[in-house]
Amino acid sequence: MEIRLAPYITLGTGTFAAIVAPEGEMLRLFTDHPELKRYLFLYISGNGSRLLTRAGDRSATFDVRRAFTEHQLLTILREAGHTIVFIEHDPTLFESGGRSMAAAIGKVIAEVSTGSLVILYTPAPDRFFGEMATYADRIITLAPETAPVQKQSIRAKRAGQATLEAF
Amino acid sequence: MWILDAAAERGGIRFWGRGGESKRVAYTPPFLFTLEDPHLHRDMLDGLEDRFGLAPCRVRTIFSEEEGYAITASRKVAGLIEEQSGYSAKIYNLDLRPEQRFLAGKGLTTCAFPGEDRFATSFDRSLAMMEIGVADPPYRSRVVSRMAVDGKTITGSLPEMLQELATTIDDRNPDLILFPHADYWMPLLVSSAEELEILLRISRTGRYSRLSARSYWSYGRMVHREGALIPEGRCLIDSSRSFTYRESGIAGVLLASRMTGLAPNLTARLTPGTLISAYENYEAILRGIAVPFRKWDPEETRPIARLREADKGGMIFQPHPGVYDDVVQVDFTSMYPSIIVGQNLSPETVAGGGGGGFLASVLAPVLGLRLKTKTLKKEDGRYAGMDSLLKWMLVTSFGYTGYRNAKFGSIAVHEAITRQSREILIAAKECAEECGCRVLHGIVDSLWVAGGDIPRFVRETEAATGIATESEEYRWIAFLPMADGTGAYNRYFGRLTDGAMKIRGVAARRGDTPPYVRSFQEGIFSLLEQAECAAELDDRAGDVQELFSEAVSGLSSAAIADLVITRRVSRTEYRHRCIEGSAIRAYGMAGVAVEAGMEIGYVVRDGKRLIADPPWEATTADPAYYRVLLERAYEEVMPIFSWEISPSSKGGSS
Repeated sequence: MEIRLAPYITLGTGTFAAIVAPEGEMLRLFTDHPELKRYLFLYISGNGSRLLTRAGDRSATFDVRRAFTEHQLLTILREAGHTIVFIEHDPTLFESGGRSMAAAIGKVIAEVSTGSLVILYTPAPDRFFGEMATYADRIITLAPETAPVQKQSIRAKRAGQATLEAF
Repeated sequence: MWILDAAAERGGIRFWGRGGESKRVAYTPPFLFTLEDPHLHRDMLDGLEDRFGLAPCRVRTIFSEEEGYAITASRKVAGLIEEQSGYSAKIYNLDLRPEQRFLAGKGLTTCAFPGEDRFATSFDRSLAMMEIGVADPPYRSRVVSRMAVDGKTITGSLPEMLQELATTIDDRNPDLILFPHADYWMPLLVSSAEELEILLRISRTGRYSRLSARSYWSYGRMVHREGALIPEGRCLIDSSRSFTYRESGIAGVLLASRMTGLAPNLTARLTPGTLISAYENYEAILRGIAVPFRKWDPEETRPIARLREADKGGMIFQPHPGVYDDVVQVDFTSMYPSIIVGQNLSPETVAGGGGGGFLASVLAPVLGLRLKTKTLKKEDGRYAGMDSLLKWMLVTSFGYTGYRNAKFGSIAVHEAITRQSREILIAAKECAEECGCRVLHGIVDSLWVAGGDIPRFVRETEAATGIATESEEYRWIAFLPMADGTGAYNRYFGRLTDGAMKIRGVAARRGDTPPYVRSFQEGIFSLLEQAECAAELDDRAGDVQELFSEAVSGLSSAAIADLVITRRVSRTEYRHRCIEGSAIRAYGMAGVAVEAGMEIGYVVRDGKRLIADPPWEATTADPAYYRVLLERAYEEVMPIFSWEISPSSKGGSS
């Protein structure tokens, strides 16, 4: 199983990928890859999810399991048998256990990824994400796509600014 | 011994009775742990055996019974076991209070004699009581200039006042002390007494345990808990800040103690959520069930479509805004706990296990007691406190099932309860319609119906659900609109048949409404109260208009104290300028540190420039700002005068 996350970035079974990306970029994983429906896909969220309501529209078919504590996250990972496991990082889970717990979870994610593709996702990395990402095969940062800047518009903007300043 | 207080000591627990009687018992309870594969951790187990002694045992949880180990060691050791086992060890009975474990293990409890029924409606609660007060305003003063003991004023220098207080306490030897803002004043009084070498025995041993201050989120709002000095051997209640005392009095504090096995010193300080959790822990120990230290069991795996279906909360039938005559509000009594008990809902039964569910079985006696106190309080006001405590504990017992750290909670139980409640409300609506009633509004556990055979509807609904109901009859009721013109779910007011007004969700009910505005809106309701039916409301429009004009013109002469806005601040720093931020800065400049979750009062000096003053410094208020508040309070009620009249009711959109 392989999916193309972005041009030149292909992820496959046996990979633990830690991804930092804007939410819109990550949503495309769900909207631009209808072939994902062919695989057993587990979405693991935390106490709250920034993506689930948008990623899980009416046509979505993936499985969901929510972890409300770091220990529940460990149980979910140990029981996960899906082809693709997507983890939406929730730093609030680690409030009590701290970094040692994050490291233990990172190790378990690495173990799970021997038979699956595991994506650990966050829009904003923190120290707990960093601790888990230590065990990742790949750490990927996706920048938001910006529209190509037109030289003409820059000139126009500059001209406008100059005019304002002149008066 | 009737146990009044308990404190853990090295290697044991000291219990205190009334009058200062005390007894020590040796007690060093072990914690339990299980390992998925003990053979993988042989070295660790050998090490623990050598160092602390390890006793193989059976660990019974609400789900199953398995092989495990009992070990008497510190919490740090428990953490190391977790870490060394790669977080595969499951630990039980670690974070329980030793006195609670001891008492529950022996079938005893606090504030009761051995063998007493914890769920009895009447019990011995005779305690020698004393009331202490400091006359100075708390939080902005670190000076004690005047005190009072049982209403008698004590004046003089601080050493003189402390000496008199100490002598009075020694003479009277109270079991329970009520002290407004005790948590604020106690550190100052105790440290001053120490410095002055005065034996101030608010604690019978002179020792205090410390409860640290903290701010935390609770039910969507930030709450601040003051740090506290908790005495030994005597119960000290901060009568200004104790939620349990405020809502349920001493009877409630003592009942909470009997039910949880915790001393009243603690139950007076704990929230209803913590009390229900402590009660469940007590019941688990009593039944030989291990209390998990961590929350390991996640929800089941399910397709996203099923999650969407399940996650819906309570049912609401949105009302049409309008005024209606002769309406009956039918409330299900303790609906959610009744569902838990009636449907045998518990984490293990929802997961497919048979038998009596733990949660259902522990809530059943609480629910039974509530139904008794609810009846008794109508005849005897002394039961109101107990009833209020049970009501709060039962209300939170539902929310607690969805709390992520609840020892015996599970989101699946939470969802099953709301699913059942939706089905019950829908069935009740259908039943009402079959009985010829018109359902005007419904929210979670209440229905507002008019016309038809209401007694039959109530009878059949109670029989079908097995849940008792309570009814309130309105001569008329107004359901107010939201900003988009549709009916608001929780904003209404009406006149009950006994002549009293029932008001919900409007300015007069909100905690942040300044007294001047509240009083104005209450004045409106006093005028409306005279209307016998919806048609008579219009006759009051002129008087209401006049009241508004008077309130506006009276603003300039309003007392500053009547313009104080009280709000709980969720943060202490704001990105954008706002009134709350300005008030917090003003508090800081006055030397009062504000913590997130604290309630602060302020007077708006300049609404446009966002300037507010603490009440004790405020000399002027911005009339334009307060006029807007008056207008809002006025406009909130005004729709009732603009709705069209129909034969039986008048409504905007019905």
